[in-house]
Amino acid sequence: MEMRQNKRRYGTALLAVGALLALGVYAALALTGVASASGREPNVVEVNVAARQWAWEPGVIEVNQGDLVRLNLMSLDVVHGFYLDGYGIDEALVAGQPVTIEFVADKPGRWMFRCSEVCGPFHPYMIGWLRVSPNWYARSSLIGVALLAAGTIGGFLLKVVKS
Amino acid sequence: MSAVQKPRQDRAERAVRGMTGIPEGSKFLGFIPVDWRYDLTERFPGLRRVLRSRWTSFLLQLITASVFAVALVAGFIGTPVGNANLLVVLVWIFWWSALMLIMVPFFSRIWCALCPLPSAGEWLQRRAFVKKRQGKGLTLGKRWPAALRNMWPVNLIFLGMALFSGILTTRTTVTAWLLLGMVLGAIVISLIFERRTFCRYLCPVGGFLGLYSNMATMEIRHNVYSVCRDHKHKECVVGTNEAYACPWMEAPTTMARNTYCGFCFECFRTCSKDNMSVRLRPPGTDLLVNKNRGLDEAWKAFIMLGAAAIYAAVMMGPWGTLKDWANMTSVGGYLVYASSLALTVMVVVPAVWGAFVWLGRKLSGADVPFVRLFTNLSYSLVPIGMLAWIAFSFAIILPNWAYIPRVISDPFGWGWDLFGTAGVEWNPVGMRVMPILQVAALLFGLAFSIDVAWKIARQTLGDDRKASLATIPPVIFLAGVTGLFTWLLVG
Ligand code: SF4
Ligand code: SF4
Ligand SMILES: [Cu+2]
Repeated sequence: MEMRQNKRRYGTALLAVGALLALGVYAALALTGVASASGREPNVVEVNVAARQWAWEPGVIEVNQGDLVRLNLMSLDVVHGFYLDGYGIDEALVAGQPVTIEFVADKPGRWMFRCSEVCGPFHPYMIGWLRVSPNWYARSSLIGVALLAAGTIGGFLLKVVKS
Repeated sequence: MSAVQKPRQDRAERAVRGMTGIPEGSKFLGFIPVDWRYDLTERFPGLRRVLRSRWTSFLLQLITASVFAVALVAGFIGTPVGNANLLVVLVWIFWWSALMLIMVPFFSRIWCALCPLPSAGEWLQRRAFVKKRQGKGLTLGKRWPAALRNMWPVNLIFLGMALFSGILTTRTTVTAWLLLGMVLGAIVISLIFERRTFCRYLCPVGGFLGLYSNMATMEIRHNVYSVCRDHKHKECVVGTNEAYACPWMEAPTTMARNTYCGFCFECFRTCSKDNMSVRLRPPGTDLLVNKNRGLDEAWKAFIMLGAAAIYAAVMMGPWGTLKDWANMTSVGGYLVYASSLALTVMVVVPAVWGAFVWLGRKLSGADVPFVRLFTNLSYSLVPIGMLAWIAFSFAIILPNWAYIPRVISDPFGWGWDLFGTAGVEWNPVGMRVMPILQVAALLFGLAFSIDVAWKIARQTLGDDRKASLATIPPVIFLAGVTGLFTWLLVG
């Protein structure tokens, strides 16, 4: 009994270590871009983005890694700012004056763009999402979730079958 | 076994297994021994001296109370712009992140040792700041009604506040009134009821601090069990001439969980045998304690888990309508938002979780009552809930840290520059690392939750085969929840 329990614990530990290793390798590949070499032609993605108290319209922008992104930004009410996490782009938006920014979406993942000029109470929550596929962070997480769940359930079933 | 090892052995046995129902040799995630402890007060006698001093608590409270007083004034007379006001930045950016990222996970309810909210009430009640004064205090000293000696009042008060969190975290005067109200409430309660009744049964912060401090890597417990057992006059329970009986109405000699221990250190001052310790330990050990579990605490876990998801959607999501609702832009929208929030955390989360637990019970053919299995397994929602809050809190502090030095130099938003930091640029840091931190937090939470669920199932059902089957559906639920947070935070 004691032996069996020890075996099971080693099993759990191994599973955990294995999952972590797999994730580590995966993340390393993803971050160095090796895993993302896709050979697809980059597109030009142009989006009109309106800023108002306290949301972006559209709130979600989807592009692929490598795309040239052109955003035509315009504030509809007060002074806002467009700050893009991960890219460090920061642009002030005066009401009614269009501003165009261009950048290559070279960093995959989901990045928040947020208001960078204090514009009222909900200013800190004025957030939109830029999704640059492939989103390695989310994929790694989901793979981790699936591994953990499948691993444990598999372990449980094995245990039940054996007993 | 040598004589030197004896007390250590006794300690480990009694403190961890004998009194708490945790099986011998349990290991978290298969390799962290649940009964590992590192006794800080034994290793560092200086620490015990500091904790024994009545001045420690007083000075800590005095410092936070002074800062709090300035912040409160800022809340009332300073700029209404939240991000430029000391109160909002101090409470909702600095305090919140420090609480969730450092204090609760590593130091349990250490916040309650610093908290300025109940100080005024306690000083009045004791008619003393530092030294204990003999004779009657300024209080009727009533006991809290037995029917309410649980977490339900806190659950409802917290829910009430949660419905206004959009307003609360962005409006300086609302935060100021709420905190002032809590100070006044604590005073009134302390004049009528005994000791820290407010903290234990009414503080909305205390509820989740208590629940999530079960995950903390620090605990205050008795040291050698036989010393407590043979000490007929239990000073920590009844108090002494120099120090008070446990203000939190715990029995330090048998306390097995962090939930209601406010780190006030009185038991270090009452115990003439120096038998109380501050110890490091693996996180989450309290979740396995097969004692005092209840539906009230289970609901606290549901509320916190549901609230984390909803806040992530409202505050960090891209949906403008949701933000308008939470901001009370229209009455109708707000009512939709408030009622769905209440319904989600009070009914939907428990119902869905209940369905999975029910399925597991069916699968396993276990004959323990459903409510018992449901209650016990609900504690496995604590790790993923807490780690989801941690992931959420990264997204509060990393982008917004710069507001902190700014308001320190310009607390009222009047253009002062006291320490030359008023001009610090708003400048998010670590944005490229943040998703990695968040994913790591979520996966750790999931792994830990699965492990706790399995251990609790085995403890409740007493049979490996049944426990395995009963844990399968809850694992699916936990995986689903982690998937949801992945989508909300990095997806
Ligand atoms: S329970 Fe609440 S009021 Fe009491 S010390 Fe803790 S946080 Fe402060
Ligand atoms: S006196 Fe009570 S609340 Fe204070 S540290 Fe001791 S056990 Fe915890
Ligand atoms: Cu704005």
